Amino acid sequence: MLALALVPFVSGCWDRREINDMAFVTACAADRTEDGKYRVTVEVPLPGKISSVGNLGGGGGSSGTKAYFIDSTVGDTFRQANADQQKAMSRQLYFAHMRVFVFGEELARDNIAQAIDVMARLPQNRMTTYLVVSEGPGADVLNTESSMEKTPAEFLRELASQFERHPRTVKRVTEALLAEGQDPYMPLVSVIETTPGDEARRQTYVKVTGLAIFRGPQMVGMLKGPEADGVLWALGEIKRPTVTVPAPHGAGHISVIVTRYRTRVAMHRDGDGVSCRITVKAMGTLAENTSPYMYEITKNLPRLEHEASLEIAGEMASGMKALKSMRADPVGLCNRVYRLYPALWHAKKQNWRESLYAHIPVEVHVELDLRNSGNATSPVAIPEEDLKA
Amino acid sequence: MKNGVRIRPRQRPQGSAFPPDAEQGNHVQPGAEQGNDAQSGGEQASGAPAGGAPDATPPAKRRTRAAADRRGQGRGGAGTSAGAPSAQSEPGGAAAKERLHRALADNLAVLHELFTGCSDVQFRHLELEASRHAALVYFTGMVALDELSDEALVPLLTAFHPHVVGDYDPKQLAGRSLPVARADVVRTIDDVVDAIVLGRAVLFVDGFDAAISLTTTSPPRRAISEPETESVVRGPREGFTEDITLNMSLLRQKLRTPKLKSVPYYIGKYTKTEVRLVYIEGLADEQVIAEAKRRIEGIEIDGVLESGYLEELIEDQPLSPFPQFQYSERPDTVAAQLLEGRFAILTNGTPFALVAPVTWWQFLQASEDYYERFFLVYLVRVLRYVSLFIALFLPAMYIAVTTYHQDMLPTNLVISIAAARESIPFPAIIEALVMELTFEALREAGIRLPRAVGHAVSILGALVIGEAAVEAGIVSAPMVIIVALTGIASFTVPRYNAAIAIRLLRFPMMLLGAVLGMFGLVIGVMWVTVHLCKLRSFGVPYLSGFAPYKRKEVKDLFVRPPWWEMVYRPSSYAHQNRKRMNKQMMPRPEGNPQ
Repeated sequence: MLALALVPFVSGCWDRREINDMAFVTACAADRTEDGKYRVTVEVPLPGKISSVGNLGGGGGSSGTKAYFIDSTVGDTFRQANADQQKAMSRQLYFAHMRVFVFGEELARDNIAQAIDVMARLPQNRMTTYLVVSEGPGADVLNTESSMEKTPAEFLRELASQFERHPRTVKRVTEALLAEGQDPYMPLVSVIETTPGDEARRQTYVKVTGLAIFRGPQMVGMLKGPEADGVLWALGEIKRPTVTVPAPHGAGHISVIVTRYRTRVAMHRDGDGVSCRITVKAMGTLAENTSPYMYEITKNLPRLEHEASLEIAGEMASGMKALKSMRADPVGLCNRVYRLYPALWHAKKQNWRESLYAHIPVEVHVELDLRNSGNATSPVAIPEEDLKA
Repeated sequence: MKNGVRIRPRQRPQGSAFPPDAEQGNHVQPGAEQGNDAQSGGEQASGAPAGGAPDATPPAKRRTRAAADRRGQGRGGAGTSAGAPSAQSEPGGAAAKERLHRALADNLAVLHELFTGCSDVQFRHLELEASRHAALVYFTGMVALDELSDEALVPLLTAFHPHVVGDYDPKQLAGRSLPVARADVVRTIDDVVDAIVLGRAVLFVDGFDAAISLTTTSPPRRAISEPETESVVRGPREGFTEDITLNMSLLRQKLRTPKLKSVPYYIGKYTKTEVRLVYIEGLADEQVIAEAKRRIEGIEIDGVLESGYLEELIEDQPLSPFPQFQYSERPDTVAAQLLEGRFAILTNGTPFALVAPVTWWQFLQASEDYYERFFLVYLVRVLRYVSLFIALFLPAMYIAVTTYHQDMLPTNLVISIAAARESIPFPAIIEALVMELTFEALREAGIRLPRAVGHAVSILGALVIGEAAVEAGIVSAPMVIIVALTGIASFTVPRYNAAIAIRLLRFPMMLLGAVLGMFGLVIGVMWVTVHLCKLRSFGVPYLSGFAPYKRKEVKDLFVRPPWWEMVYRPSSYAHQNRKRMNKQMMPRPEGNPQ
């Protein structure tokens, strides 16, 4: 009885750590140094700076102007770097709240597989952490000003989660790494500057500029602009895409917001090889019309739909072509081959990128259906007699 | 008692190990046989229109009572004095069980000796006829004097027929010449003393070897008022008072049936508190009633001033923080419980009636639940369970999460809690204990203080606890929110005795949460659950309906079905006669669109 009664007093509070004795790492960046080590940068928000509640309690312990703290250390492994970091921290580093992990460009080009190990091994690291690749050193991304959110980490997290339908997490990237005939990809972020017109008032912030395409664990290229959009279309991951096409008649442009869409990737066996057909069925809304033509309920509408569909199809074709030239397969065409035609896959598995992937013809088909023209049925500011049907 | 060892009633094997005389010593039945008759008859007349049979109590039971009395008397002088600890040294104890003398002077001498020093005792000498003396003995203030003079003195002194008195025996005298509502013949000194201390006037007539105890209306007590502890928006506004007779009549007015039985006990060596076991014959489980009687009869105590004394002496598991009796000062609540097959114990001197057997669910039901429309009650009951959970676990959970499981909170929340705690010098558990204890102290102060001072306390509380403590950086703002939420949640438990159990258990939960985190909380939950499953109230499992699961009863636990759905009484209590209404009572007026 006595021994039982003593249990809480002897063993208790073993893991106790007060919430204000911890440094919550909200974002982390990893870079390759020149001598082959990891440079790990952590970002820790300073609660006393972030929250106005803290000021009530006689002022927090943190000083300075920024609401976060950033430092980086170098080590042979992440843990070693973190352990080194801990020596300079009055609070215990805590990684369960790390929402974004940034791979620096150098590291991504080198190999991400080893870096991902620590993510799955330690329970504090979550499989739901978003992964992004930075153009240039990852540390720079964490060190932007990001005045829109309280910390760059929060800014990055929102960016990563809004960029795709299913944001790339450790879990998804690992799955892609391990799947047969598939490669991972991640959003590519770049540090850019605002253009307020005044040099002195420039701020740095982060933008998602495209996709980092991997071949296995190595980054082989970055896709930007229409190519990146095309790949996202093919993946079915693009979020609320807007398509802008020149007006079919006359001058001006027309923007269409795609509100719903679905991408289907179908494989066909023909003869020795396979072919692929990617079909997108989309529903859209007319968002802007700078031409004098009416596109609502007229014969112009099918034409516009066709043009916009062609635009999307063009993006996709260029994206797929770029992927093929990189011999990288984030869409998972070969994974489909592996699943549908295992015999073919096993025959070509050895050198699948060259012998299989490079020879899959990709056909793209887009059906856009414009359902709605917004609140206006015809160009608003043009007198009716000038409108062209 | 005698040996200084308290014997728990439930461990007593059918009272056989207990000396019958000792039992007899404490719940005295003055004039048991006649008393029962007259009393139940009186209640019938006042309450039930169906009245008729004056013998409401089953004859069998009466016989056993009378037999017990006789047995006690048969032991002669051993009776009360044996049962009483010698330290209580009742004057003339040895002679107490003696039968009354024929000579008035002898009887009065004994009484004079017994009541020495009682300044409020009255010996009223009467002279009924030449050389026929009589005396009325009573306590002033405990009998209604005008009633006594109208119904006893006037008939005795004016209308008494001199030449017949010699032929009357006491019973005839009571029957023919005393228009008092209740007159009992008592034959021993002991019974006489009991009658006098219970507030009756006892008439001695020279030459009779018996006396007549006259019951007048009891002295006026507090008027019926709205119960303060259980107020309702909709529902009856009357509450029990301190007078058991009045309380009983309030119940009778709700349940106008001879099936409503009441068994009287007089408990307490010095207080002789009247206690009544009330139940509805045919609804209450007979075994439960027998067990209740056995437990009440086993009580030996010097005084009972509140029903709480009884509760702690007859409950099943005395070392449980959970209440095993429901108490109520609302006649409608008690009547509803009786209708579900439970029994109630009324105690003279307190407006609180005890109700058993109980289940835990009952403590989360307010009487108004059954008066207000069921849709609302549906919501309110769910709300109560949520509040219950909050009241029990929220502070413990907050401590566990902030000291062990910071990963369970959203990032932004964890940062704002960290910010709030930035300058707090104490660990979360100390902070929580300080706040909770302050809150408990405030609540306690609020109850005890005179009303005028109450405002000062509430201002102090709001100011000191709410603002200043946070400003000073002693406690964090989230902790204040947690404590406030917990406080509010604990007030939503409708039964105060259940609320205090929860209130109490919160502290061990907080310690468990602080020592072992969520793991500790789970241990706590398991401990409480196992304890509740083990608990019985008069043989009824405490979680009955849910564990053991009863499909037809679960509907009245977490939500409240409409009345037309509650066709059967809960089988946890009522085993017989369970149907309380016709099926298909759901109103379907003709012509209404369905």
